[in-house]
Amino acid sequence: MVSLNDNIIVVVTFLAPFVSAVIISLLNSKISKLASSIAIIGSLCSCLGAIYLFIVKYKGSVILPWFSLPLNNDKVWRVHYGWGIDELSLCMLVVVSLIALLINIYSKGYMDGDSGYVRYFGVMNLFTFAMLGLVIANDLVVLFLFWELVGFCSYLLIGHWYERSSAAEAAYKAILVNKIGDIAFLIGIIILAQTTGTTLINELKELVIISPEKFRGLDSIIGMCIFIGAAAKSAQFPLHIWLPDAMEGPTPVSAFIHGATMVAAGVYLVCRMFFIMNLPGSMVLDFVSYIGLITLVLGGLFAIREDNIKKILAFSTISQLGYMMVSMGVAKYTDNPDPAMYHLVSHAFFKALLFLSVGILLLSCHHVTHNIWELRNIKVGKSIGLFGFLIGALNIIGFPGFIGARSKEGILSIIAANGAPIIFYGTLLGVFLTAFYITRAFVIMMRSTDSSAQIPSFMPSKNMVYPVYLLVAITIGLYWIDITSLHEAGKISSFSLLKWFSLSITTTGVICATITYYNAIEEPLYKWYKWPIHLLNKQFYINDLIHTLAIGLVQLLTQIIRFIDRYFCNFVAITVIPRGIDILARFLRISHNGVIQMYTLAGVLSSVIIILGVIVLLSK
Amino acid sequence: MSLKSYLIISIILFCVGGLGVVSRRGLISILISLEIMAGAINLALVSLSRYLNSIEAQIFVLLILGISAVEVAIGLALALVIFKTTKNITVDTLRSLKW
Repeated sequence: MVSLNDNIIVVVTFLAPFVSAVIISLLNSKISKLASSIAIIGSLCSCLGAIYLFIVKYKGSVILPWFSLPLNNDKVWRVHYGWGIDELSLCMLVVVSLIALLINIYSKGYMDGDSGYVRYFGVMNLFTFAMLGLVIANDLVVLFLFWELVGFCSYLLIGHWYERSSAAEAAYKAILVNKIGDIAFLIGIIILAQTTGTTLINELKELVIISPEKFRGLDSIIGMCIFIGAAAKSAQFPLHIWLPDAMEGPTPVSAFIHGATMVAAGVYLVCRMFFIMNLPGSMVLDFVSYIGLITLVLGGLFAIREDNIKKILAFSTISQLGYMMVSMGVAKYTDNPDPAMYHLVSHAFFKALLFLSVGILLLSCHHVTHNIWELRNIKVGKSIGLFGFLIGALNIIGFPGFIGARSKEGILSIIAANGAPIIFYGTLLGVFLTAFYITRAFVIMMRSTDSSAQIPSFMPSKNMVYPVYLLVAITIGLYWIDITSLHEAGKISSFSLLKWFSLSITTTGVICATITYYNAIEEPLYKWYKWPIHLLNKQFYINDLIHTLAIGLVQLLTQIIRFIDRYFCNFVAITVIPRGIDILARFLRISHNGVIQMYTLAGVLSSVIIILGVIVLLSK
Repeated sequence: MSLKSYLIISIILFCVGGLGVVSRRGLISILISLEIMAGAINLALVSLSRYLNSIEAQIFVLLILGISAVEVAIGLALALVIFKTTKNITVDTLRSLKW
């Protein structure tokens, strides 16, 4: 049962990062070194609280009235704040706070000596607070508030090194694309409030069961709006353009926000609102699965041709998020979105592991380069970085023994059982591409050329290394520990045909990549296929297309307004009005001819008229 | 003679004076026409006083007589100044108010 103590622990877990962010913002420059310690303490508190709540299996909700708005048919829309925690929230709480703690420890070493040290930790903790608030919110308006706050913190963190114009533009692009999704999400919330009068998630769940006729006709629209919001946050196909550029931020930011948590917020939202998307008569989930499939394949294709290691991981994230969305869409037939959540959890851990290992490599060479062809020449720090990267890579390809394998098999099994054939074969293609690109990256970075092109490097600090080891342990350990009901989703029988089939596809990908890149000095694909590689290089020109469209739209508006201004406004204001006044003035000027007798006549005549008028009026 | 006839004569005199003000060219002629108008008003007032037994109209006539004397004095002074500056006393030379 829920006791008062547990409620207090929920509040502490939720507010601890916020309090530490506030304290950090009050630090002055002399004690700025304390910022990281305060941040670590804050995230440690929230992590301990989250683990406690998870062990105790806290399930409760607190609903406090906030404000209410009148609707147009005499109903009132009441908005509440407070929290509503169930297994899904518990799971996300643990993941977010644990990864936050690890990233804070890692950042203590990574951001050492940076001029924005204090600002970084403050915004990171604010982000953690917002993400925790998002996962425990039970009113959609409160969720939307934290959704926007998360996007804003992401903007601040991507543009952490704002003196670089590329970073500032990337931050701007991220917030704009997220804003498109936010608008769609808000429209969905408003439609939902108008039809049902409430935005509390548990009340909506009951309404869907009790009276589904309220949603008839609107179920697709609401689900679609919510999905567009989730798609912008989770980098699904047309709205994925912000994520590769978001790699301009520091590597721990990429690990936390754009690998593990914020981009998972979209998947979390779809899972939370799954009962809305799963309304009978709504075809949103089919759309979701196809968009997820396109994202999965496209992310994999683009990752094959990238040379910047962080961008490879960004496209990998996009591809894995597509994987999660495909499984969400296919869950229409099983009514159970758990496999996607399980993959979300395992992806959070192994993606954070991948990014942190890459961060070790990048820091060892002082950020000289991000190119995998040049990173292979590091000597010191390469072994630890590549070890972490290897474990992360084994997770992502589904090597047995790691948690990535379990979650991947879980998704593949439900797709095989329920999905359309094209989705199943597309997912297998995605599996092949995943194996190919991650093996490519690993092989290129592992094989060092002769020592003629050595890059000087130094050993990373202990702060950075321990989280990597811990994440490795987690990814191995969670395979064996059955700690959550989500684990059921990943259990399939040991030697099924599907498992061997997918393993064989993965192995094919690994072998192909190894053969292609083992002895390569420069990219060998150029020699074989010219124009497809060129298309992939430019990411199918998607970025350029959207850029041109946006600029073209603004220019079109400008030309229209200029035309109206020149030919109508100028015409009226400069030609018509002065000419009219001139004609009128010429007409009236005739009476000013200087002949005194005319003036006298005018005076006499007007007085006559006035007197006659007075007489006529008085006689009435 | 009745009140009506006196008033009709007064109106006719007033209109004659008015036409004279509007159409005469010489300044002195305009002043004479103004005097004719004043005289017409005096006639109207006196006849009203006689036929309606009111003494206030006669008092008003005395006031008008005084004022018209002043007005003629000022008008003649102005005519003298205009003659000195423009060497003729026709009205059509005073055109400086033209736009």
